[in-house]
Amino acid sequence: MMDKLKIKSYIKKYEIIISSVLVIIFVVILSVVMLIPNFQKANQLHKNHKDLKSTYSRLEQKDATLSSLDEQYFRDTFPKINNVLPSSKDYYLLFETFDNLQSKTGISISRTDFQLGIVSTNSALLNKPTEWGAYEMPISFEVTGTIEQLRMFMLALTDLSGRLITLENAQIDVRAGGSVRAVLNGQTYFYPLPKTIGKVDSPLPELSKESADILTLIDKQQTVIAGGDEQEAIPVGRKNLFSNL
Amino acid sequence: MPKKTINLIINLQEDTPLVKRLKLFLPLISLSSLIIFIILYAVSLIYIRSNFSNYNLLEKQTEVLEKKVSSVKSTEGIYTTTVGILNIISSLSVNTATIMPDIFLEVYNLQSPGVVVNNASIDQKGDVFMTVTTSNLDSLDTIIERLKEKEEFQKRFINTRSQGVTRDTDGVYKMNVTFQIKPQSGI
Repeated sequence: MMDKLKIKSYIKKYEIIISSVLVIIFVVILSVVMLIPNFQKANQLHKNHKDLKSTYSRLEQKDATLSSLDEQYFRDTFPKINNVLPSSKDYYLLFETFDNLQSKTGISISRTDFQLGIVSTNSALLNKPTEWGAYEMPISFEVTGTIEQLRMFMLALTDLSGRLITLENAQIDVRAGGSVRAVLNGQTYFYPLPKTIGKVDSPLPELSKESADILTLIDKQQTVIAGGDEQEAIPVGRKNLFSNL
Repeated sequence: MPKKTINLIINLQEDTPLVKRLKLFLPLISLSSLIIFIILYAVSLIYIRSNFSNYNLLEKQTEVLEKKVSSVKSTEGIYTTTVGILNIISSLSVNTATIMPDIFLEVYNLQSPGVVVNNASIDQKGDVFMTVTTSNLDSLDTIIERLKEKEEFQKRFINTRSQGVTRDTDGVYKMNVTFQIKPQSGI
């Protein structure tokens, strides 16, 4: 009985302090349970909004660029670009380039050597690409012609009129009558096409001035050799020898 | 009997200074913290509600734009692939620009009446090894002077060295020369 009275008297004496502390504790609990999660939610929302805004802006830019592109022009010039840097080793194109160079410069290519073997197949492991992203294919060839023809031939290897071939060294023999025989060693390149083009909101690569100039030059320099489906129809005989039709 | 007095009033005990201070400040703190909590909570709710509707609107617009961009995937594909290949061709053209036609011409133009460049080995770095044949001593002197002029005056050749001169029985001089050609500016 006495204890109860004592407790009551203490509570009465310190009631202001006790009620203030209770309010403070209540506010702290509510802050932890309700206020801080709200702040975190608001922060997350702000971050998401910012990311979404930047995605939207990228998409807007991409949409504007794609709408302004002349798709047909790129489709028409792509085979010509592929002639310069094909997606595979494409030995046929290499021989075609040599044929064109011979007829253009007048030089005579008497021998060509290039890498064959396991790296001829697409399924085999490719060599590591160069620092510029394309794969190298060493090549060596022997040519005969005049001085001017050899010089024109060397220039034509990198004039983007055919497959890009860069030279590393040359051994030249000057013969009587002003003709030269040269053994040229160099590299040609190929670049396997990418399998994916990236996510829908990934930015478009920029066509720099240098690349645009190269595209114009390739378009001007090249004539695309017609494919097999444009061959002339070969006349054939009767399907049935016993019929007049 | 004498009167006896009983004091029923309990003396009021004075609060300690600490208790006095607590009684003064704690109510203020509790009230202000409650008010601050209410204000902050209300602001956070308003912020979340308004931004949520903006976010939803932006999300819908983004979805529409994504669909539009996806519908022209073929254009994107051809453009991206073309630009990728062109960038590589551009890098290859710049970094592997050939100076060999120029070197070849420089070497060939060393020839003159009586001086013949029989063979030459040239590389992309500009290193040249050549064999020169001259019909007489004057022609040999001519080619040596030309090489000196190229190195000392025109500054086109570097480290010109002769590997040795031989003379055949028919009076023809043969000389092996090595030098390096400086690429011209712009190449």
